Amino acid sequence: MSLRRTLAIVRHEFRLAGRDPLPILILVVFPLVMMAFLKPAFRDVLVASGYPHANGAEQAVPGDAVLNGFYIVGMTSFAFFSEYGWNTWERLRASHASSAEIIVGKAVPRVIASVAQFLVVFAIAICWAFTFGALCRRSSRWCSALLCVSSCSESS
Amino acid sequence: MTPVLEVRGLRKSYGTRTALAGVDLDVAPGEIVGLLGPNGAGKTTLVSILAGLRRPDAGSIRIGSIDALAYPKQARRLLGVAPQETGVYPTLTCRENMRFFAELAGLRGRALREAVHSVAEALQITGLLDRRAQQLSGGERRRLHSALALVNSPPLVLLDEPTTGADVQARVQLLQLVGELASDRSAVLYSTHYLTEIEQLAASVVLLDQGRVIARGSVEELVAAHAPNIVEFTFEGPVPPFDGAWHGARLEVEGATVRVHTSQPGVSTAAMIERLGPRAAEIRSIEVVRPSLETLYLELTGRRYRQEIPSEATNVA
Repeated sequence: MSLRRTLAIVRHEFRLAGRDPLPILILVVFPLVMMAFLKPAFRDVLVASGYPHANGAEQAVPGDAVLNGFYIVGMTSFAFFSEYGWNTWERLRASHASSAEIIVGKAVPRVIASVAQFLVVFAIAICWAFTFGALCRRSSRWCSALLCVSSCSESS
Repeated sequence: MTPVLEVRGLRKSYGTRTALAGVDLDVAPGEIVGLLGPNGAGKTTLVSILAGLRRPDAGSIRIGSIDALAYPKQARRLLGVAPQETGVYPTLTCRENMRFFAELAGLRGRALREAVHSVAEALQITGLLDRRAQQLSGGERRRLHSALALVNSPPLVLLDEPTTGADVQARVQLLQLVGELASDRSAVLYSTHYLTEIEQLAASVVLLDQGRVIARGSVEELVAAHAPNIVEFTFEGPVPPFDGAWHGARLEVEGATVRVHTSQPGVSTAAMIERLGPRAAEIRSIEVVRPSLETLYLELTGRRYRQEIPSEATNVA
């Protein structure tokens, strides 16, 4: 497997995504909107489950981030489907790139996009918590931030 | 001379339908081979298998000195392929499309820029390099499609009907570029339905029919061997009845026209007039049609279908 060819495909995929950024932007913004709606519901569930000081963000933030992360990774399959639509799939297969290089080259940008989405969602949630105290009221803010990250890693 | 492409006994079936029934083919460096044949003859299947997109049922393929079926990845490095369907990335510019395939072929830096520039110039898309492919006309997109196969100057180029949908100017430019590739020692396998392109390229011909190579050679050799002269007699009224021997010539009657397929047009014309006697006055015109690639093509492929379909074609012995 050639790193140079794989990187060429990665750059190419970023270029393609850059020409049509709306799907990824929606999947980054969408969880932020959903969190605002889901937080009260999660708060009630957590309070009823024996966490009287929970405010719902503990589940809404990592839960939405992971759910939408799956959507972004699912876009990898759409990247192959697009090649069929453009009639470039056979051309790509007949090129010097191996199957492994093509698959990795197409997957890496989506994984990066997914990580970027996590960072954006958590950064905004944590900023919101530190600024307005929405994430945690009585426990340490740092502990809440860590709780979010740990919930996320358990979910994924 | 060691061939760049060596195909032996290539077979491929789709269910019960046989697409290739034992194809043998050699293409030498610098040679342009025109792959001709009616629809369904197996041209696209052959190109797809050579490009490594399909596996044959049997046979062997050597590209350069590489066994292409055992080592497809290595063989692909010697190939440039333009499939039948136009395949470009519509949201990318022409330059980005070309750069991508050049990068995959291992070009970079100055060599990459020069390759993009020279192919773009040859196909006259230099002015379109920064335009997105989706904004191009059908012919311009077709030129870009061909450019993607040629950008890395591969030793073997497979072009599957590259001029379909291209305008006259684009076609001329592409043919010119194919000629230049051949003069640079690249071998070109060129599938087309436009017989004049084969004559313009001075290509040798492989004629496929029903999955078999039914003729192989230069246009001149094949025409001399297979395509007879045709003398066309057109009459004022109904065609008079003919009988008797015609020195092995074949007669074909269509409306008020009689076509005599003959290797000796002068002798056949004289014989016809003599045989007609006073009815020779009913002849409105006589035309000698010299053999060409088109008459050769029809002779070798069309005859088969005429044999299957009852017609007025006559063999006069």
